Amino acid sequence: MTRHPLLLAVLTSDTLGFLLLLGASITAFRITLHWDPQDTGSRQLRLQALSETTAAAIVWAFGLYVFTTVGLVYAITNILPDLVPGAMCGTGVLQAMRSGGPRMLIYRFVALSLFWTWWRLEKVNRALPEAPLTSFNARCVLLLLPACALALHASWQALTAMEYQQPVDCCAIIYDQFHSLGDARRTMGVGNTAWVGAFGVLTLAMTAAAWAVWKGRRRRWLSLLLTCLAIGWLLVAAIALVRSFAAYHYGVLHHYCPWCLFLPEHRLAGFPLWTAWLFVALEVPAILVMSTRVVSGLPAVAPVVEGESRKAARRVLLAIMIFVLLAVGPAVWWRLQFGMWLTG
Amino acid sequence: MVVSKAGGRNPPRFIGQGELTLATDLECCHLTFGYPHDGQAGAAAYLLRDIQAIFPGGQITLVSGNNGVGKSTLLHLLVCLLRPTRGEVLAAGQPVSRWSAAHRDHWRRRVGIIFQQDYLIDHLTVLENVFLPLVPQDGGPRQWRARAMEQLARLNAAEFAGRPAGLLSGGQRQRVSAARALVASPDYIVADEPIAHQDLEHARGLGRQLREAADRGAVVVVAAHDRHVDAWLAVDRHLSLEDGMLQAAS
Repeated sequence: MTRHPLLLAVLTSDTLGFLLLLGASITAFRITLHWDPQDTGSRQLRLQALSETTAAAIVWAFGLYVFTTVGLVYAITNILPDLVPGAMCGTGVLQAMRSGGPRMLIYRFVALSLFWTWWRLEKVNRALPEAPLTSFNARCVLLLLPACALALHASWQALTAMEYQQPVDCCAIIYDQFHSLGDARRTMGVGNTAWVGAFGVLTLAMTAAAWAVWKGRRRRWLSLLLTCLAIGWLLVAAIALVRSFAAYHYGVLHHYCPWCLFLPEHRLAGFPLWTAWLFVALEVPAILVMSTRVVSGLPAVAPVVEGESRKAARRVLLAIMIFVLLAVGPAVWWRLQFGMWLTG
Repeated sequence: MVVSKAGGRNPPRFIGQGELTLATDLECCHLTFGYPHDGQAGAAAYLLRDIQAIFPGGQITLVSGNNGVGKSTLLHLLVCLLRPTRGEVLAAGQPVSRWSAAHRDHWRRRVGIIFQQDYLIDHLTVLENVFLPLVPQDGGPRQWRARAMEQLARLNAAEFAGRPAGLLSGGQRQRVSAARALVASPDYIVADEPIAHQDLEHARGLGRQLREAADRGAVVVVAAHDRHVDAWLAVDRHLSLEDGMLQAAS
């Protein structure tokens, strides 16, 4: 394993965040067992005091987790390619990590998503003096712990098992997936132009749904609709970005690499693009959880949830706008400059 | 007179012509407190035991007792500077002692506290010390200064408004501390030995201020071991704290 300071910082922060979460989960477990808001006994009062300390610890763990995620992505895309022979971007680095790399990213995404939902719910909880969601949030923490344990284990495994002597071939992975030019023009049997069309339709639908959640009266089915649309949008947006829009950043056709977008020669466009994409992926489930009967069914919570859902919908709209601007903007600029689209 | 009430919540009280306000009563429900690690076991470990009392708005309540009996601790519990070991404090029917820290802090903007130690900020002027509780409220510095000056004048402390607080005598510091507690017209006022360093004239001035606050509906709780409190303060109720229990004084 390389002893690059950023990787050491990532692993140390990950471990520290997990230890914080482990400590917090002990209190969360006690809250799950013994929480009784009507009780004024010493155990309940101690739990109330501890719940605030626990929430602070989890916020720190979340902060560390965000830092390590950003650090890890930066390391994969901009540091490790120099150390892995043959790697030019994150694709080669993940190849050197073997199966550990994608597994690490998936576990990390799951943990991040749970952290995000907990954070949003805790915000609702802390907005009310009697913190009525404390018990529910404690259960979220218990769910978070195994996800973080898996993410931490996968990170250690992927980074320590990385091969620095074995050369990789980045572009072979990208180009070897196509047997013919026809294959390159299609994804999952559907033409890339159709994916762009679907992206346009879903973006409009997502925008309308998020706008309705933001401006309209709170209705549970709207949140559900937004979530369903978001699942489709995330998939289609990722495909449209990699298969069509990325070409305008790279200036070449059929270079279907999601990681090259993070390189400085492409103006690090991957960071804002994938952050906006990730933001939608994290925020929409939080809106859905907030709209469930368990959370919004509590009379005191309902108005706060409504306010938070509106704000979340506004943030989703902003993230979609940023994504569209950064993905479609270069394509439009290209069309205006050269009078043609990069298709073929 | 001590009124017992097991865990009840006060309903909103309507006052005046269509004006809606909440009752400001403070209520202790089974309030028990023990300092951690004080080396005692069992009931003796608790400084205050199962206190049930209501401190109504519009009245001045005197809590008396010997040194070390827990008067200051009780006041600190009433305004949520300490968390109870058991039981709760209700303000206008709301369990404020069990609220999360941010909400307790926000509620405490409605509280004026005259501490036994004055806790003035020595490097600020007297005026700046007094207008600090007004800063989270509406208005601007000009209005805050005017209100602070007015409050200082009421307590005969206007003449040293521009002086750094660190240069004041003990009695002057206590008057400034009282002015700071009263300047925001709080709904809840607790005063812990507020005239320990005062002559009778200034003590009476403070007594009048506390009476005015009670007359506008505030809860006023004064802790003192001074048996001659009648000389400066007209109290409505007198409670005595003995052996961790609160009872009507004889």
